[in-house]
Amino acid sequence: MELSIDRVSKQYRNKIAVDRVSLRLQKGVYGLLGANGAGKTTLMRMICGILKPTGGTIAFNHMDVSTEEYRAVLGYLPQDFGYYPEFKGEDFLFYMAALKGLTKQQARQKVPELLKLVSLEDNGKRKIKTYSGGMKQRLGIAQALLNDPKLLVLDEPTAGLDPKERVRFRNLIGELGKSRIVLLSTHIVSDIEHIADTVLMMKDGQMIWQGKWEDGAEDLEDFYLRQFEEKGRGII
Amino acid sequence: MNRKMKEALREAFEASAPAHRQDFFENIPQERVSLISFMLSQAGYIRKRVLVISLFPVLLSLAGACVLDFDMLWAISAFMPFLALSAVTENFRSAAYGMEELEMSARFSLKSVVLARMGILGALHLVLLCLLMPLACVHSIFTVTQTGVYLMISYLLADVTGLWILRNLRGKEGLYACMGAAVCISSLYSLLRVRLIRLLYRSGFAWAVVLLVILLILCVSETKKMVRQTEELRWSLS
Amino acid sequence: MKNLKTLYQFEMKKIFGRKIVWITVVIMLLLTASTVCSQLLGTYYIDEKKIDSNYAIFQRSRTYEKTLSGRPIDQRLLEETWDAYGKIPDTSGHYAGTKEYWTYAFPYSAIFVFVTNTCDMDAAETLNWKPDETELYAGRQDMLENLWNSAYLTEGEKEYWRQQEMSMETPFMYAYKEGWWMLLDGLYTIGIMTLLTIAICLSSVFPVERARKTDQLIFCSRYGKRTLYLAKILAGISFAAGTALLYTAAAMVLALAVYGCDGFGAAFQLIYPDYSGSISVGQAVLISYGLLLAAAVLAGAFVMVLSEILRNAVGTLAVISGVIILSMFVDIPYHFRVLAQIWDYLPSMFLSLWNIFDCRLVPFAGTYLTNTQFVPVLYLGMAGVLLAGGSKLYQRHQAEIR
Repeated sequence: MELSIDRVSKQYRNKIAVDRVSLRLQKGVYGLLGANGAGKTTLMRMICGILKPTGGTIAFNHMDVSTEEYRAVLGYLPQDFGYYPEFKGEDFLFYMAALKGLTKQQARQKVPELLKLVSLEDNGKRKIKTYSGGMKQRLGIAQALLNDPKLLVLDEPTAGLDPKERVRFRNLIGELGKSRIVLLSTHIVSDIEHIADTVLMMKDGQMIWQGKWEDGAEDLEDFYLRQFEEKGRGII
Repeated sequence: MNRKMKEALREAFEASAPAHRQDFFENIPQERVSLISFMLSQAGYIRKRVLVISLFPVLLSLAGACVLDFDMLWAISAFMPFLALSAVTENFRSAAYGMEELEMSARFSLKSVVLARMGILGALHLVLLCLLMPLACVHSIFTVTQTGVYLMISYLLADVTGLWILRNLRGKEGLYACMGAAVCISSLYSLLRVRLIRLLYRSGFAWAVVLLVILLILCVSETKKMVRQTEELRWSLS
Repeated sequence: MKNLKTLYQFEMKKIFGRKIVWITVVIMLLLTASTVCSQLLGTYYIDEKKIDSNYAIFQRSRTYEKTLSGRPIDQRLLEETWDAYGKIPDTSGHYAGTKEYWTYAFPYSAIFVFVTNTCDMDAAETLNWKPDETELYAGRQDMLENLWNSAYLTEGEKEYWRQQEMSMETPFMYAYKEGWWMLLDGLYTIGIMTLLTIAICLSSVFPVERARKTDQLIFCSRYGKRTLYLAKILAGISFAAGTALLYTAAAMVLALAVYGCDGFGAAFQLIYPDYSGSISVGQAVLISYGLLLAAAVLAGAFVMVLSEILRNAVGTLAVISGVIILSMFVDIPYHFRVLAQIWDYLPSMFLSLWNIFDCRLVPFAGTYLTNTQFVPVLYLGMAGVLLAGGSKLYQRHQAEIR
């Protein structure tokens, strides 16, 4: 199982959002850190196939990012996503299940399971427009897991979650990372410290640091701030 | 004291650092912004396209009256719903773009902003109506008064419908629904103009006046409800 | 295509889940009802004098027309009609307010109107006309020749219509056909209402994903591109076709219930003497409402593809309603033959008696096609092309940076 990102770039008119990033990701949890505007979300969107890179290639087990087979193994939670207000929570999951290629039978099995996993089993029959921000976030996490993705991309997944839910989520990600590639981006450094096996740092569209992060090593936040004081350099 | 002396003194002496600067600023009496100047400042925030849309029926009626020799009353009546739409949606910009919360918590709250916009656009459209009335009836069988009543009915029908929709539908869905309503009302006028002319010409003016009065009452009522709604958030969910 | 049915059902749920769809459909249904039945409301006036209610006039008219049904419009019927009209005192054309008209002539007014329209005369000329069956049908030929000249038809087209005329049987049999006439008369209004409903309800099928911020989730899903596009257009086209069928059904049920089903087989020329084909009134209604269905499919495809291009539901609605309203006020003169014909093919213009059964033809492979043959192929072909183009656009769609 390998996600191969080869010299991927994304350029807008006079701005390079992602600058020749190359990565090879295997099973495990990867934490992506960077300042606002560093290019994390742009990189994640290219990995999810919803933005086309201006240069480079992305492939999962030799399946190119533009294929249906690639999208079949992908689960994505965007930073800022919406919903259809007239849909109930479980309607939304059934809809996403259909989009992800699950049969009705599989969906009927998966949806209640996931609602229970994210503590929404009592709210599945309520309309999403009545959900709080945290409940919507949990629904988003549930939809990302519908198709048992081998590649899970999470952009600010714990935003809006209370501390108890955040801990539950960390444990869940830790479990999931044992058998798939999980790439998560967050500003909450403690999340990365506790869950990520590997830390990736981005600055100005470039990967400036990549490496294993042991729990109990130096404070990640101090290390992160120190990296950003130095001149950014591309490192693999 | 001449300029050279002033410059020499400036170079010779170093001004001392200000003391109690912050206290001084905090104690300066704040100039109160008057309601009129607030309203005028809001005028600058009204989108230019609203003003452009407002000019269109005037140009249309001028063309009809002076150049085309064509009865423009029904064409202008068909356009009036879009004029009303531009005013109503301008008042609801804050809700459509999620600015309600910020504006409600400001000194000149959302209520003042909305009232200011309504006042400015209402005055503008009233002036427009006074311009349109004599122009639209040039080649028409109706009098100036009748023309004014028929134009106002078209405008108020869209206005009342738009206000009701925006009070009940959140966000951009409401704007979209208002557009749909304006299109329907406008098309009705276009489709039914022959029957309307027949109906109104015979004995319908009295009924038209009754309808106008009803629409005016509804308009005032909807406006009051809308203004009350700007005082607090309807929902406390994101 | 796996999951297409499920996705189709969800897309229909998204369309019908919006309050504005229900409000629009209900209002348009009420307007359809009023279009068909509004003739019966109100009062009938002549020269500012109140005669009776419209409903009473209709009832009387129906009784007289049913009495005339089944009779050929021949010399005998023409003489009876003119004898009746001859009893009206000379009022310089303002005969309709006289007692004699309502007593003697009104029962034959349908025949009088038929002769007026067929020979392209005005009321005063018709009053002074001497009833002559041969002259009536010859006058019709003259009227048609003038019409073809004013429409700038080629010699080939005129010859085509002359052949059609020869295949028609005269004299025409008179029949009461008010129900079918109401359906044809109301077609233009019902057509516009159908197009407006489609514009209002379908212009957010694609932009809603961007507006609701669900585009990212959708585009990264396995079936979020090709399959979902197909599901959306199927849902949209079903809705458009369903709307046309619903309004057609409502209009037909009301018109035939109120005015009666009589006259399905009556000659179409009794309603529209300008046409030179052997079709009945009922067939004309079915053809016209079939064309409404084709127009609805094209409109649905156009609205959805335009919304995908503009990525804005309000903008799409503005463009469509602008075109519809503009077409109600703008007309291109006939001497710009090709341009006028193309303009009249716009669905908002075409769905009317005078355009569907227009005498202008389309040359094709050595022969000519009438509008009723050419336009359905044109509309469905264009819908297919638009949807294929829309598919390419949708595949290239990227989620926008927010």
